[in-house]
Amino acid sequence: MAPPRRPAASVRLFKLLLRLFPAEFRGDFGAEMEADFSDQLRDARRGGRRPTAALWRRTLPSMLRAGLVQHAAAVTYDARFALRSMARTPAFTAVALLIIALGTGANAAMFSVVDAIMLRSPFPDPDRLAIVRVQGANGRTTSAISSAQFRSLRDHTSIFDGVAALGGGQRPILTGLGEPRRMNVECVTADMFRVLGTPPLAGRTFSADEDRPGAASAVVVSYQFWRRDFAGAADAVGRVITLNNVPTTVVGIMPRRFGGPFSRNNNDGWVPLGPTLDGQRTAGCAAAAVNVFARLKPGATLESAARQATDSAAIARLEDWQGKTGGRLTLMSLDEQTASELRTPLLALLGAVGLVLLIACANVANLQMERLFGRRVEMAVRMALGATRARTVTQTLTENLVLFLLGAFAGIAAARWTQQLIVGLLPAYVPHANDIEVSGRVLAATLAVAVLTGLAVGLIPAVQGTSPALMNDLRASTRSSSGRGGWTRRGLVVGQVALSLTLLVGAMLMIATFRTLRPDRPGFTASDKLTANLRLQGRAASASSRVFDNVFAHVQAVPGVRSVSASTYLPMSGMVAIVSARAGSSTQDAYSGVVTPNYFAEMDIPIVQGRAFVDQDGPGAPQVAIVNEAFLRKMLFDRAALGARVDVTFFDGRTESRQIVGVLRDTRSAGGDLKARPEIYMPLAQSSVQGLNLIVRAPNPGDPRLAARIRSALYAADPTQVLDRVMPMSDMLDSTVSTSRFGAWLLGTFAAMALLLAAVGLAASIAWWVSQRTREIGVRMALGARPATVTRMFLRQGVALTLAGIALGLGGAAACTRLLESWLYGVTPLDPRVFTASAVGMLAIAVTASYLPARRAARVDPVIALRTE
Amino acid sequence: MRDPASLLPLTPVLFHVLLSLSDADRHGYAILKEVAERTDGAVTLSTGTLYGLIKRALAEGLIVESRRRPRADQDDERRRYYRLTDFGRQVVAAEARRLEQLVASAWDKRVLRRSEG
Repeated sequence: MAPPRRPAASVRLFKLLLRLFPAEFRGDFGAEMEADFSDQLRDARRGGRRPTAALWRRTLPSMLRAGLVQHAAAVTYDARFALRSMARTPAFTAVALLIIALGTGANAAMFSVVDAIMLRSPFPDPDRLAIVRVQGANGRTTSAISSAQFRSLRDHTSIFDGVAALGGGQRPILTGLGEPRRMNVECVTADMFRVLGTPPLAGRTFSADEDRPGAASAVVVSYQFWRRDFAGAADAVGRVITLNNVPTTVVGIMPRRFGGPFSRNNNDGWVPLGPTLDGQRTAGCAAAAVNVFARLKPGATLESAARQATDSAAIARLEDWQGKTGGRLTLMSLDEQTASELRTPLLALLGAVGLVLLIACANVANLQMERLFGRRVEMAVRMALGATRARTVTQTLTENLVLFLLGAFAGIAAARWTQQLIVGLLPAYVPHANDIEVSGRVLAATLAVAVLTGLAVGLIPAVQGTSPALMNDLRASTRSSSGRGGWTRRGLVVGQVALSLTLLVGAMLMIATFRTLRPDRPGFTASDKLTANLRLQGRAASASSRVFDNVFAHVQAVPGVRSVSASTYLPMSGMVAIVSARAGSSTQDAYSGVVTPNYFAEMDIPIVQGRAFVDQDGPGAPQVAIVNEAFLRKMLFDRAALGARVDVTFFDGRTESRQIVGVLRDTRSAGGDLKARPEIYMPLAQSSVQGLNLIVRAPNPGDPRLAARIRSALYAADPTQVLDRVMPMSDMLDSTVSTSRFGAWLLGTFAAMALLLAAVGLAASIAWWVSQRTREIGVRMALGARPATVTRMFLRQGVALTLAGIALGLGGAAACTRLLESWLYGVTPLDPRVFTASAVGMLAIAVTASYLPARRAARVDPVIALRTE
Repeated sequence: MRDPASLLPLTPVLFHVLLSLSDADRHGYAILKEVAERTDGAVTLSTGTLYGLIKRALAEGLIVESRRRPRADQDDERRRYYRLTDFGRQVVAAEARRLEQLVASAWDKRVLRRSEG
């Protein structure tokens, strides 16, 4: 390095280097160091260029190092001081830590969810993973690919590093491992694991041979299945389980983070799709239409790869899964496909939890100002003894930093627990849920947020608490609550009210949605019931009614079961068979159900006209039907219903003519529909069905032992049949509205936290103002003011701040609720009822929060108040 | 009075700084030069490091600022002169004894030999 020629320039550079030291150190030693350096430089220059260069080489790094050391020493000192000072005010410290822990903990938990679902892929090089879709000649795009298209893609193209398919089908029955049940396997081609890039945790994935017809059956199980059903046994690989009566060898175990191409949480394992693709159906797999996944070559773009693959695999000439030709391929990044529906609402939730943190920060800032006000004597003394204002501000900031970091650690500890609650609420379809953890990234992000908020929050009270004006106040020994600090406090209260109202509106919208989709009174009773799905297998399917009777009898005999009924259709379950019904000249689509005679009575759905089904409505008797009131209104225009004839056409084209013998009270057919849909029911004995929902009435439907007893009773009756999705009916209904339930719970909780914090902040501020104006209150009361007047004075102050906050908050809500739009049902983002109710609720909370400290003002004893001054 | 042993061992650089103040009061640059000369350039302190040590030595009561200053024509008012306190002298002595014992052990174990001495 060429040394600066003129002394002035060198000294200037040295002065610059001095800035690396803390101001205090510079004040103590800066001048000396500068003098020393000038002398050193002078002496070195006598020796010529070389010693001068050596001096600089020595000085530069050592100044850098020594500067850092001095800063670290100052921080350590301040941190120790902060801990001592926090210990001196344990009440403040405890409350502040709790608030910070709440705020940061909720954020850490929410961020870990967003991180796992949206930001972190379980696959290596996720940018190169794509889902293959076909755009038909009609312009519609689908991710259902015909097996012919997939085979051509697999055999004829070298555009990709690999392609693999995921098939459909019916989940196979697993026997020989606990009670028989359906196993959640995905049918995949052997290449799937290589395409996704995830090696097995133990054992291996499928060989090419196992992916061809005639091979011995193999299954790769998920980590979750291995832990649950093999109790994590070391020798699980190589064991044999029975799938659809076929002995199947467990060849491998996948790692915890692997949930298949769509990262489904409840996957039990994977079986080869290859045999089914080549015409030999195994393990219940189906391959009429498959999802196809491709790994792009490094550097390839989605567009060019899609174009080349379309050409080389001759996609346009091949039939798509609906038998049409002329399609072309498009590619979509797998990550985008997986998280697309969740992206906006999840970001909205992350924003909501960020607001909670902001409110928490405002609250802590409020508390800090109060504490610093109490310590203003200490501050003044320290500044009088020569501490610079900058030094005092730094000290106060360090205290905040320590406080926020400690709070953040407590919050992170709590986040592990909060996170489990969030995961428990997550809709089952949400991908990567197995993956949610407080990772290093979450930790780093949370600590970074803690540091930033700690500094930001510390700055307001630090600057105000050390302001010269405050020191003047102190000198004058007044206890006036003059404007200083007062406006900041007011601003903080208004901000808290505004932010929590924004959250409250969001929460109310979600809750309104949830209550629309899952009403308290849907028109039937779900609370005392357990449902189970039974789909007949094999030969039993042809003798269905005898098999069903046998099943009912066995389930009925289980201890704890009051009664058993059954229906193909459960209101609000989201699964329904639609028929076309014709009565007279009008034709209408209707929801159809096939039910046992006792179904309506069991579900508490009243018959308003005519009769329910009876045992005599058998195969030989006249064909009958029961409809609901909505059917009546839409089809028969309120003409006499009983005795009217209806032609029912099923989806397979079969038509039956039936006579209406009864009319039902409407229920909420589909959760989302405010109005009931037309419904038509037929007796089980006059219909042929392969599957039914059993409805078991029991005093305690949530008891897992009951579900197990019912399953084994059925197994005893017929080991070839298994019950599926055995769960309390209310859980089943919840699962159909899981998205809005998730949003309602989360936003509701965040809003509740925000409201609590805002209420505490408001109450604390009013209490502080009361304490500041004790003497004034004393004077007023001595002059004859009534207690109610004094209370009203402070109450008015609280209400005025709240109204300002409400005005801001409503504006904020109007700007933000759009983000939730895709999750809302039955309300618009700007629903005036929700906005009004939220504002009124906020006001009520604020009045309550202000009233308690305001009432204390009225209890001031004028004599004591005046004497203490 | 604090126990001098409580500060031991001293870092080698701090030992050199205190040692250089043992026979005269000096200002910062004088300390740098004295240490460099005494050790034949083997120990070269830099300005940044030196004042970190001085700050610590002042805080520990090992040195104080000296009130005696040179004649006005030789003085630079930016400078401060430092003096070893009695406590500081005890600490340097204690450190020297500790080092002496270390070296003695090395002789006993024949890690050091006469010919090398």
